[in-house]
Amino acid sequence: MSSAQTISIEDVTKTYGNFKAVDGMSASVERGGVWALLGPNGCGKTTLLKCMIGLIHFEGDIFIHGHDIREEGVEARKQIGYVPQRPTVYDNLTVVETMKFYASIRRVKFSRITELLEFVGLELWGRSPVGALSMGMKQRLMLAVALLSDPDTLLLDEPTASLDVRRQLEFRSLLNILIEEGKTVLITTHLLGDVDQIARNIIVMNKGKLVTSGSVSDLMKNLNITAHMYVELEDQTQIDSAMSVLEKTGARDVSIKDVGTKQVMMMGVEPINKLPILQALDSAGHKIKNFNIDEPNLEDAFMKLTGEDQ
Amino acid sequence: MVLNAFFTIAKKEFKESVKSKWLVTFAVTFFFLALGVPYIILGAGGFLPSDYPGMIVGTLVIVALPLIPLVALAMSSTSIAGERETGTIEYLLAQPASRTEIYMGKYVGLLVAVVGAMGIGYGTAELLVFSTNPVFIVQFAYGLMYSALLAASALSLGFVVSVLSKTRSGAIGTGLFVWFLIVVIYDVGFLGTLTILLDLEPYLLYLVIANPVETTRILAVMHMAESPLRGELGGQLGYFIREYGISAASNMLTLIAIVWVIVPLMIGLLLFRSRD
Repeated sequence: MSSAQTISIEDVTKTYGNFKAVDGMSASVERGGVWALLGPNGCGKTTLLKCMIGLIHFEGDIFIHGHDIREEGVEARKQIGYVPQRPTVYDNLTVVETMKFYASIRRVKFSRITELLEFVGLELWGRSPVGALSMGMKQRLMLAVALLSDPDTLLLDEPTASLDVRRQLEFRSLLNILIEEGKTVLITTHLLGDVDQIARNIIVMNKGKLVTSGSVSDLMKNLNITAHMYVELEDQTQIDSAMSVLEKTGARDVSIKDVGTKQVMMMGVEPINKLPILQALDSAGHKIKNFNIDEPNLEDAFMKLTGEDQ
Repeated sequence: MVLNAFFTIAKKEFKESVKSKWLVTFAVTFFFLALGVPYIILGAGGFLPSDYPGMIVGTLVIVALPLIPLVALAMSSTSIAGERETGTIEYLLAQPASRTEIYMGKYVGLLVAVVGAMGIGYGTAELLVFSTNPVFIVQFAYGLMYSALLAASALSLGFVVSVLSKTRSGAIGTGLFVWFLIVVIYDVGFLGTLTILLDLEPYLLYLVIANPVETTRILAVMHMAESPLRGELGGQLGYFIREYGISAASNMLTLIAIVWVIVPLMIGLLLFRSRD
């Protein structure tokens, strides 16, 4: 494990009976920035995260800041803050009691509690029982608990999955502050919106296995994913002849789509091929009334990687 | 090994238990059981005989001992299973604390709470009753010590149940079944029948040590010289005293009672450490 690596996952397998939830997974998370552990529901993301924290037994090796999670679990867990998918703190304790309880376990001075409650916007709720808090507030409390010992690395398991849009935005803005502070954040998610907006690096999983990992921009470049182009002709009666022109220009999967009372030609195009296609239509005498291009996004990349568009 | 997590969890477990209705009910029940309704009536009428403490001390063993495992099993069987159901145990395991610290912290917290409640309920009443005759204080001390041992072993058994149970309701059901088995079925239906109908005296030792309630019951009675209960348990008690002598029998049964605390506790710990 290199000094730049925060988390090193080496050939990890987790089996439940005959089912391999995680199957020979290897990946690493480098220091700084947001890493998204991405994959469809049930692909093994949460299981892998639980392995990383030492919550479940597994085959293979996981190192957190150089500490073997199995042999030096306590030391490894000192280096990380964990926010589970579902807030799981004691409902009968107050917000401050909850913070004090986990601060005592982590040997953190109670003076830090006020600062953290202010950071997550719960400073006025200190005496409220946790059970009385909304889901969004509980999630922010979990974040405050995770930050108690000011860990370098945060592991967040689908932290926005159960939040409404407004709370998601609030949570993301808190994350952005932490990222600016230089923390390493590993976030599991099946929501591509999360990744698009906050992560620069991804680890893609499917059916328990690693599909790919690296920076989002490199991934998009390497996958060479087509954009979708929609073209509306002025003369709708020319659509059939325009279709035959398009098929000679390298446009893929050309089809006709009904939009209200008009018809639009839809096709997949390479990024470098967009202008030549439009020029070819124009040269063939087909006047273009309107066109629109959907640039490739992470969702397309994800579908291509996991093969779920087949 | 830094024991921050152990003490923090033990303290929380203790506080939660004290807040729970189970323990308050337990303390109050014990107070009245130990005080004895006759004491209140006779005392109020001024007819309290001077040997009253000796009369009730043995009865306490019969009445109070079965209740100790009931409360201890009910509280401990839900301790981990309840937290597993709500997910809080998972978050606790994600903290920088070893599984041993978490398990032992919960156990010690509950043990202090249960023994504390027992001591308060039982002790207050006993001191009140025995203030008339200090000789019985020693017997009371033995009674309390063996009651604490029984509570500890029932808690250990409850922790095994808790580790193996997936839900809170399943855990409490299994815990109550274990209580029924070691208190009701074993004593009334099994041991009683065997010793009355069959000549099983040579096997009595094994029958007694196979159950922590029986072990504790014999031990407690052994130290109550004036108890009328000595007659009731005469067969079993007489056998032990005859075979080993009172001192050796007492030491042997005390050791067995301690084994009943440690072995299930360690089995529960090993299971807790090995399960996801």
